[in-house]
Amino acid sequence: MDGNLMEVVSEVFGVDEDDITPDTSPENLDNWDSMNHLKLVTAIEEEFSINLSMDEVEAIVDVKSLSDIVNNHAK
Amino acid sequence: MDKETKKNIKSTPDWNALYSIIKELDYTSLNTREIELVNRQIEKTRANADLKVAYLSNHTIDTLAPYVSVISAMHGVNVESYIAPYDQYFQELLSETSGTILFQPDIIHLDLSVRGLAPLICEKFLSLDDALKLAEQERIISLISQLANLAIKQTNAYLLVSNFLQPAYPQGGIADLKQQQSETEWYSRLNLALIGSLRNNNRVFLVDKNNVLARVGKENVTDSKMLYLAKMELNDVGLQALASELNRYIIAIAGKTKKNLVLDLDNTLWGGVIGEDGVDGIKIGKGYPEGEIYYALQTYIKNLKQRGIILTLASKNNLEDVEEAFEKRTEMPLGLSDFATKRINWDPKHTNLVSMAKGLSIGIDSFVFLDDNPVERALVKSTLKEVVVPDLPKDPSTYLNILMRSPYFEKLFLTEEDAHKTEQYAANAQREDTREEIGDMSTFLSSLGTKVTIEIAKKENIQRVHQLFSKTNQFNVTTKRHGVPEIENFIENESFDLFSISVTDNFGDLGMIGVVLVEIKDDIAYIDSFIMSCRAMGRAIETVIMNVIKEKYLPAAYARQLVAEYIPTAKNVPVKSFFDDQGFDLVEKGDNGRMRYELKSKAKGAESLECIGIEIYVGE
Repeated sequence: MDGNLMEVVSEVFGVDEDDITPDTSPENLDNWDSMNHLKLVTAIEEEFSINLSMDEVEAIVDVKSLSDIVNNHAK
Repeated sequence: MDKETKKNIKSTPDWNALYSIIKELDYTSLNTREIELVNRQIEKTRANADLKVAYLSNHTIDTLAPYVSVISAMHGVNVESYIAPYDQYFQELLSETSGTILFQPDIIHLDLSVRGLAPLICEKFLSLDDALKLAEQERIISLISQLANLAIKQTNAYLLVSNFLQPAYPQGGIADLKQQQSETEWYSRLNLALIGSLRNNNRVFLVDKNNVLARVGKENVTDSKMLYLAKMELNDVGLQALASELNRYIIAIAGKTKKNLVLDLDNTLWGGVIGEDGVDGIKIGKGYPEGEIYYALQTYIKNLKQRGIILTLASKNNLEDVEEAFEKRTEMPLGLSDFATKRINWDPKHTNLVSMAKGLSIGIDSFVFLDDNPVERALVKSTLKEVVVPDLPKDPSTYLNILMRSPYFEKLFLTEEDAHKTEQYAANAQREDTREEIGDMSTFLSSLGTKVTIEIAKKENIQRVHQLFSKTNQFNVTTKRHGVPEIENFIENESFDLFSISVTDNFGDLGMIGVVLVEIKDDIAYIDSFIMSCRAMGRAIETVIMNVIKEKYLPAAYARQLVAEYIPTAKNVPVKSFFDDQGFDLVEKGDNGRMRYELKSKAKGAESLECIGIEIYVGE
């Protein structure tokens, strides 16, 4: 998985990169609340210079889906 | 922000260490994550908040708080925040046990949007009849007034109210302005009415959000996606702009406003080098591009003087050349008399700044140093860490914007005193010269023709009184930073006597230079604060004031006592022995150098001390 993406996730949620797995999601990470979800979107958009659509934002349910969406933009 | 900086920030052990790193950063270049990172560290290292800010809003504004905290931290103010639940602004102010009330904020920021308050206006303005448009406007104004009154009643906080963002595009398009009740007009009138309804309350301040967001562009401050997803009306660009505006209020409220702008001359106040280009060769004045740059800059700086910022010069030049330039180049907005003092010589600038601070009796931490030369800036920065040294790019046409963006010159009020500040400090410098000429202290004091007026402070003095409480560091025995709400109470409450002291002399009007606050409890009159502006120091004026206080509170026939305290700070060493000198008895030495004094009626020391050549007026 892209190193930058892990860095973004870890910085937004304030947790170690090592503690983040593809399965990390709002269900198992306390800091992943609705407000931090928005911060994550903004941070991802800044980092990869992309614009996520509303559909994409709502489709982010865990780190894996986030990574897929970002990779899709890279193509 | 590079990896190294991030790592350093994360490992800072305390607030001071954190501040020393982040004060060098440019907040406009930080992204969301970096704001988060710094904000987290501010919270982690916080021992004491300087100010507590509560945010109340009817749209999602949670992410404003980190921006404010980070920007303010970069300016040396530690801000703790509380974000009220979405759309709960009324309950939060009304309930005695709401999060806002329990938080005991120093500042409440109220930011409401028309979208939430009056959706009809946003959705179908064109089909509304005029009476309804007006009714909606009145409803909003009266709601804001009601909220302001509640905030004043329920808290001791300053209230900052955002005005309303006029949409980037009116619903009627360009024809809107031809309508009888146009949307453009509706928003203008709404914001105009707000100014009127909030102007006269000294604890309520309007934040011109509509203008602040226009600075960065109304199309750039909203992200529709975030609006629909989370009712977030402002994106990061908008939040940053609003936060940097709130920071201006925070700096003023925290008393971090700078007093002195030190200016270089060559290539800073005019184009070219006077020693090389000659008096006629320097570029300043209207009519040609380079001259216009410096004309605009000098004009702005002259306005800063009007706002009460002292201007001074530090330039490596021959004094005769500089005098000739100001004399001959009459197209210059600034004249030599606009500067309170000057150091035109070849000494290192940091040496000159230190001697200037001494001469003006103001702290060097209230200096801003403007110089085009990066070497001079680096030298001042490294030797005098407390001085604010803005980085200036190569292009001089950017200097003006840099000054305008700086929050360091902000004050909550402009007073009569402000416009004459430089003259007052300049007169002080003259008095210093006279003192040197005369040599003998008592002859010097008599020659000044000092007249001191002591009277009970009135409501219309609140702004100046507040300035003295918030900005006086040296002649301040307890350094209690009473805010406007407390001052209002001192004036109204009968158990307090708040005196204002004004001085004039042969050299000019010094204006209101001191306040004394006495709290009366039974037989004790407690001197809560004894404050004098540094420009009135060293003239026995404090003794005159104390004599009046003694006479008032210790009448010969009545057994009462005066109680006073000295609370040491890094700055108030000049008053360390003040109460000893005034004949008070030291009765208790407390922790951290606190000292408690008493003086009883008929005690030997309660007699008036001699003051030479000072006339005194005691008003009501």
